[in-house]
Amino acid sequence: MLVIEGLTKYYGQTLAVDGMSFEVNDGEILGLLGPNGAGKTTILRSVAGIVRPNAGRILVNGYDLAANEQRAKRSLAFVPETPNPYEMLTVYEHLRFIAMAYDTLDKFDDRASALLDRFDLAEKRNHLVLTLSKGMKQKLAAACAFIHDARVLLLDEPLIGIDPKGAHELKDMMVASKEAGCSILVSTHMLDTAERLCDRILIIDRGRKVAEGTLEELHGRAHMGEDATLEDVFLKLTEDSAADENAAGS
Amino acid sequence: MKMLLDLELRQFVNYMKLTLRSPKRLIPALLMLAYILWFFQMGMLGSREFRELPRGVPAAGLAVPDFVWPLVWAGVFGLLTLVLVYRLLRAFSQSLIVFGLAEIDFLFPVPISCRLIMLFKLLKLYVTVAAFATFFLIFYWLMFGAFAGSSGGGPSLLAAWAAVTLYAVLVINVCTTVNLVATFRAGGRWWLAWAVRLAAVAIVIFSVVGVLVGYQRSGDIAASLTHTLRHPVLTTLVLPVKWTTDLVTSPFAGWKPGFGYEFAALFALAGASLALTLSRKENPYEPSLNISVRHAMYRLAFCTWDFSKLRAEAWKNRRKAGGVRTWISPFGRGAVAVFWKNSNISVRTSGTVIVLILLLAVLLLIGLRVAFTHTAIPPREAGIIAALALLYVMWLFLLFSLRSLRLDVKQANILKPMPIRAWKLMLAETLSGTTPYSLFVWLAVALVGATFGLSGSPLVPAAFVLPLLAHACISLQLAVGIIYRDVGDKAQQLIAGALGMSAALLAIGLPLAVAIILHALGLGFVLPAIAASCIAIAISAAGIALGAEVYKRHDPTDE
Repeated sequence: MLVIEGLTKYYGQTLAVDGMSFEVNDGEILGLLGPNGAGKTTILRSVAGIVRPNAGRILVNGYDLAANEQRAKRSLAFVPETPNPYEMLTVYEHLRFIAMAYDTLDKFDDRASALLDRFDLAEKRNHLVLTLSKGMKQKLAAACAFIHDARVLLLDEPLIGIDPKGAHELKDMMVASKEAGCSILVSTHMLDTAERLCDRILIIDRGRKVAEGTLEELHGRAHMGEDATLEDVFLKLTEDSAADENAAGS
Repeated sequence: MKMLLDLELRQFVNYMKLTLRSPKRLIPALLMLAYILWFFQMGMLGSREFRELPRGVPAAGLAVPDFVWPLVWAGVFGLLTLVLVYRLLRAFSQSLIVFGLAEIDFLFPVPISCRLIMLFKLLKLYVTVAAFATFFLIFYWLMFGAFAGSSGGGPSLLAAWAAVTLYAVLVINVCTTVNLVATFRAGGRWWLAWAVRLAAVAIVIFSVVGVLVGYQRSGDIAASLTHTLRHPVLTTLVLPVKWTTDLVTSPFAGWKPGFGYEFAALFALAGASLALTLSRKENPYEPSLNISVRHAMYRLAFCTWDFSKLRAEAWKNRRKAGGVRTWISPFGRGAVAVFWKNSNISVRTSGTVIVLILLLAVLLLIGLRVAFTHTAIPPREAGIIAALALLYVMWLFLLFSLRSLRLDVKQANILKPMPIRAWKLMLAETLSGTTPYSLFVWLAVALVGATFGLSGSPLVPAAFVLPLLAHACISLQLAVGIIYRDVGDKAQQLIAGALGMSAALLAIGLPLAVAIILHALGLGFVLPAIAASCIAIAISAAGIALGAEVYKRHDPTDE
């Protein structure tokens, strides 16, 4: 389970995330939606321990990230938006490095082979990451996330640049992880995918929460009928939020 | 730590394997190795030559005048102080520790203590510094070994090496700590930041003023420099710099009893500063996030020699800061619009403007030099020198213009569907490269003319010929630029460079050769200039026609 309470993050004087609170339950996929610069990547990076919040608390699988960083991180897996894997490692070595970092080398070869097969990377097993295309690097990053037994998965735009088969496999693996009780927080701009894949949606704008709930709850919040798509709901809610912000500003 | 070492080792082994397998990487590596060997060979030659010198100063071992060692001490002290001041001032905005993008994406999120990662990163930096120090130690040992040996310099050399390394460790640790504190406490303790900045600036001001006042009093710049830099106030302010300087110069200036304590103190300070850095609770990753992206951009730019993204980023930042306004609006139709767009990019991304200003400064210097001595140099010869200088400047412009041309051709998937005839587009591309140079030539000729007058000077015909030569040169390179347009591919770079150079030599060499022959036949400057211009125009036309044909057949999607 992932619990975020009052997460606030400043970059210098710029407020990137403003008192964000939400939860991702066990066996749930929460879609994180928002316009560019809304603070999605900052939230994911804060949970991944890359940036440190100025205020708030992050609990990963019951462990406080600030107080018990290593135990909390042991339960986490993070897929960055534009992955830059170690170019001078082979695909296999890269996976092995991640497995070593999480101290999960048991049956590593079997798990690595299975993952490489699923993501069509078996042929590239002994190739340097340097030689991989952008999409293959994205697949490798996804494979790295599944090489250890993470209980909380953080995925930042994971489907961008991946071919349809790879995307299908990744979605399948996300669903399988969810069914195995994992908490998954996924940031995406692909609203149709979010609509099909996510159990709940969290819409944020300018570092603040705009709306949170199931698709039906969001329909109600936006005062739209059930035939409205997530795209319609998203546009309505973010426009309303911007209008409220402007009205408050003036 | 074992896992991080394993990561480094595997990357190193893979890098070596890749270098050995790829000629593209192996050849530059072998050249670098040859250069290093040559460097050491020079050192050994130097050593032999020094051995043959008479020994005039037994204590120091080297036969050099007495005033040299204080100057060497002052030079080393000044250099080390400058390094400290510069790094301290930079530390407020940029960390010395730069994490790579791979480390941000794949190392930061894993359950390894960030203190351990920080320590590993620092150790890597220390090893790099120590390796550099070793490189120079070996060189200087080869060069001055015999003399250092005569003054008991073997241990001193090691002490000098260790002192340089320890000093670098100290600077790295202090600056990293300052950066961590400054990043997370920008609002609070602002006075501390200003105190450090003021101290750094005060050291520089104290040194400069001290040297100037001393020089005014004594008239001896060397004496005032050594006196100021040995002043107790300064040496106390930057005590570790004094210790390092004493130890670094000890192999040649002689070892003194107090140096052992200085070494111990330097060692203790380096250790204490490491403890201080590792005791910080701030997140060490965060200061690196933006720097890593910028660092990666710089690396890519230097690998591909494509600085357009960096320039665009700089432009964006300046616009954010409100420093520059977009003051050139779109203009023209068809090829004219393309030409205007290229000029607009040149001005906006400032690279060309900077080059223009620098070159203008160089030319002004040449002009001033000629002005001071123009009684000795007749205007005709001064004009020839200036014309040759402008020809040299053309080379510099061509380096930039061919690169811009190739980058623009890379955007052919946008340009090609436009309803613009191929030859017009090629003309626009060529003119985009020629125009800044032409403006520069005319400005330079006007300046020189205003200073010396242009009557009978070859600069007047040169003002017409040189832009045409540049035009011919770029035109003839169009086809090469289109065929080998990928600036990121080193093989294409090599071929484009070689072919482009040949084309440029032909475009410049042929008209110039004809002009020189005609001038030698006693036809003055004007007729040869007209002949050279005609040849340049013909070459331009041929180049544009060839470029247009290649462009028509060129498939922009075929990468």
